[in-house]
Amino acid sequence: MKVSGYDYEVIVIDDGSPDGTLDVAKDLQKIYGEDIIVLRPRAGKLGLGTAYIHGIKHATGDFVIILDADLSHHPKFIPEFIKLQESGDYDIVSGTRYAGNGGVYGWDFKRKLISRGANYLSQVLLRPNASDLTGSFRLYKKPVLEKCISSCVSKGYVFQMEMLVRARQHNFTIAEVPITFVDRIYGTSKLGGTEIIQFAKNLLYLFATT
Amino acid sequence: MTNLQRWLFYATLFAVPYLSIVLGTVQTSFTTKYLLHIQLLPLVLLVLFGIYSAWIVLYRTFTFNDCPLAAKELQLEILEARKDLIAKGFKFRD
Repeated sequence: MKVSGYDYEVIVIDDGSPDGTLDVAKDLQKIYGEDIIVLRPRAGKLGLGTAYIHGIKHATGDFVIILDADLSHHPKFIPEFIKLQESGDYDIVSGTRYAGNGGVYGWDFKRKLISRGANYLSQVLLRPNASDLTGSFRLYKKPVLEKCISSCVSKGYVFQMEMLVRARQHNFTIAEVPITFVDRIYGTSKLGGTEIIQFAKNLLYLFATT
Repeated sequence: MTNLQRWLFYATLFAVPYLSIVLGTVQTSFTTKYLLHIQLLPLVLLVLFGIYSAWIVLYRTFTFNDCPLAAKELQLEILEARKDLIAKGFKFRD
């Protein structure tokens, strides 16, 4: 980021995860400085949406980029996000695994099929203006992010989908950057029966209400 | 208009002429001749949509890009970042 010449800060929200995330972040803070690495830990697990709100409160910039910190989202795409945003003054730039050179690593056929099926169903039912609804690697104008979050009702990973649906409702403009998604090297990702039921429930809810 | 309302709206647009023909309110020589075809129309449309959807999803699944290079690159960059961080005085705990 320093080499690319963009002004930035990294805000770390940690909900007391037992893997020592906060300790590592503190060490990094000593190296990079407190103005670059901003730590805003919270006491317990309070959910993704509130973590975003918490983070925005402490963000000093005009734009917010959200990405998973487990390296499945590669920071090398950030300059592309910024360039695209500047080119058309977009409200949101969303990373997409489903278009252009985007893709995934570490997914078997079944996982791909579920992902594609869920994506197709959401496209048909919700008509969003973006191809990747469940990814979370995105750049938002700060007030746009605030507005989308405040109109969201769902929690968990469906939240990402609702954000773009709300964006469509508010007529925000969305552009897309193809990204490669290297599935978690650290830890295992979850996609079980409960996730799928949760997804279907929220999909129908959004279908009926938006 | 919500998505649900939009779907119901289109469904109604289809259902009104469809039911009036099937229930015999509207009768022409054309509808009497092809009544069975018309009766089966919703089923045919549903099956076609199903085939179209299955085709799209399968096609997209098979053309879903694998990125082995991105994974390899990431592994190398992790090693590079480790070295860089150690040089800056960071101590890894693992």
